[in-house]
Amino acid sequence: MEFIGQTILNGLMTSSFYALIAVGLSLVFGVMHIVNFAHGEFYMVGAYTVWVLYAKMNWPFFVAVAAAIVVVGLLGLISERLIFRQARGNILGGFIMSVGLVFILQVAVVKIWGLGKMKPVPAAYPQVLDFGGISTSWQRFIVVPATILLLVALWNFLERFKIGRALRAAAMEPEAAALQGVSVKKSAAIAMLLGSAMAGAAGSLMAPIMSVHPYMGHYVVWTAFVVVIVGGPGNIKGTIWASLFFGFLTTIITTLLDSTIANLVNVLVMLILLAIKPQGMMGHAEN
Amino acid sequence: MKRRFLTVFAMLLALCLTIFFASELVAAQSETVKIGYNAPLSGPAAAWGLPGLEGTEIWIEEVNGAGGIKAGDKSYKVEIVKFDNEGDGSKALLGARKLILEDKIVAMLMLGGAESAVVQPFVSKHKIITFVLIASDISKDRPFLMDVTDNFPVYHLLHIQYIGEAYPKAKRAAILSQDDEIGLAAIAWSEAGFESAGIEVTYSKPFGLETTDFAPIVTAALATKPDILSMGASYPEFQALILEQAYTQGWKGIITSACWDFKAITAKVPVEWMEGAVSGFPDFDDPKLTKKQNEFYAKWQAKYPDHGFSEIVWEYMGGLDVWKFGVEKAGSVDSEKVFQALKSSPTVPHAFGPGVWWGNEVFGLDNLLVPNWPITEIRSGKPAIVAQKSLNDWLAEAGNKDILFKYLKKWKMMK
Repeated sequence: MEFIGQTILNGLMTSSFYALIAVGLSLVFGVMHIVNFAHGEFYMVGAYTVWVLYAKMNWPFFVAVAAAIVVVGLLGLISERLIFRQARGNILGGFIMSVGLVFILQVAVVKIWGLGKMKPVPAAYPQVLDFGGISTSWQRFIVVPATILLLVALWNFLERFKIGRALRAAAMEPEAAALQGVSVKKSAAIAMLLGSAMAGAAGSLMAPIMSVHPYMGHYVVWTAFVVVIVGGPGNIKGTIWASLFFGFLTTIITTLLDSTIANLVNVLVMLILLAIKPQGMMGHAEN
Repeated sequence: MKRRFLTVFAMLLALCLTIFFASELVAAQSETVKIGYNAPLSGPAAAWGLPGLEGTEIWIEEVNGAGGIKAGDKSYKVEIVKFDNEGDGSKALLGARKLILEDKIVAMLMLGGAESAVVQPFVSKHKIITFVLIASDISKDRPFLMDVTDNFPVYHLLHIQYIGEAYPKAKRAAILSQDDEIGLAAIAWSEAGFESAGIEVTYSKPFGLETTDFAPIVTAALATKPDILSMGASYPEFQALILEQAYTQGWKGIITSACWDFKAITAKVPVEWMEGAVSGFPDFDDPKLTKKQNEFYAKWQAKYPDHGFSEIVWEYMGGLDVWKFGVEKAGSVDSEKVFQALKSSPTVPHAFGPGVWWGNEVFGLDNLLVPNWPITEIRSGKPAIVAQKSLNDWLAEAGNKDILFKYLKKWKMMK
């Protein structure tokens, strides 16, 4: 029983992480129609920000997390202005530009902080959280409420604010939105700001739990893409459901078999779903 | 006038000759021999490469400060040429080519593991003596590869023998190690050690190198109710994440590992939780070690005050000590001659005492230098020597050789 409970708790935490990293990617894809491979590097920059501010400069953990969200959000905004804006409407061009950005960010981090050992980020909340024999650390568990909080905030923004509704309109029908006076440029910039900030949040919250190194984004971006494709690119609700599905699938297979097989099964599920339902589990943003 | 001219000419000639001979003398004195350091200085195995540079740097300062290394009637200064292979075989081969062909090294220090399989055909062709930290890399087709410091994975047998004797109530063990040459070797030798000690192995599934989340793996291992958690030879970064999970999932018991990056681990779990953890590497300030080793530790600590000590700090340097012994015995820095001189010595000085050559039975060559090995336990947050064990004694016990061969065959490691 404890084993099942522990596996459910592990699955919940993995799902939260997947949602945090994938929702931002989905938003960027939905509004900008850009396959942003540098999303993993935004996640990495978030983790490095926490390493510098919290682990090295002793800032309070959540202040460092907030700073990481701002830093990575701004990084996304600058990337949109300088790089991705030039590739609007050109999926291949945008993809190649994002790959270029991957290398630029990796090399920049290596140049500034070197390669060497992985950067140790001590747990800010190492205390054990016990649910009657099922346990985890507070540090790991806070990813769950933090994800819920950020997703609810994003949802409210997209639903209740004029600018958020404009963003959704730009994702669903860019031409009709433009005719209604919605600025496509502005929408793209906001989508990039929010999407990158979500990646920064994921990296900063996961920094004490995972290994922080310049190539850490590479490992998560593939999973994020699988989640986004299955959930439906640009479809936030679909992405959250897909995160839950893959979070639990990965956890169960890794527990029973192995993480390599789990990755294999994830990709296989994505391919099968794509063959059956090319628009994703819950369809594109326009649906 | 003529006389004055001759005097000036003679003085100038004398000056030129003095400068010429002096420069020759300086050149002879500063002849340098290069050693390659082809190891992971970044990536998940960086903690098994980077700290070694600290020890070798101190070694170089001491040896060169004392006039260099003596080979016959010649003296050589020693230079380390480093190459970051990131723990990747193809990069290690690139490094070996550069070091051997361009830098003209006479010996090479490496971590070993996956790198050796790729590098060794090239290195063997050039007959360059290579000191690795992975004994299971020794093979008939790698005649110049030796392990003269770290007895991995052999010492797993001795760690577990000690656990069996000191903690007779511990009867179930889970082994967590990655799915590569190093990780699998640790699993094979640990399984043999556990069977010999009468301890049941409840979990020994290797995990993929791409694993980033260890929660499900640790949940699966802990579900088998182990009394002992063996880290095998998990890379240092993995160790910290695995132990963090074991701690937060509420497990308590005996931890054992090939080695630790204790600073990285205790950034994730309380130091008290690690109390009693068993390994085989004392810090060099341990009073049971030699005065020279204690002095080395003090020097290292003064030079790197914020760094954590691990066996890697001295192991690559230990390779240099053995190489120096071979050079002095051979009277030459020639790689083949040094190799022959080392192999013809019945005992060779090892950091833990006189070592003898062993390995033919399992590796196909006696290229592993085996001393009596210390066993350490974490006491008050530091590894302390609690026993000494002998591989020969372990092998001499009835049935142990058969057990070892059984597991080496099971994991396809008999050479």
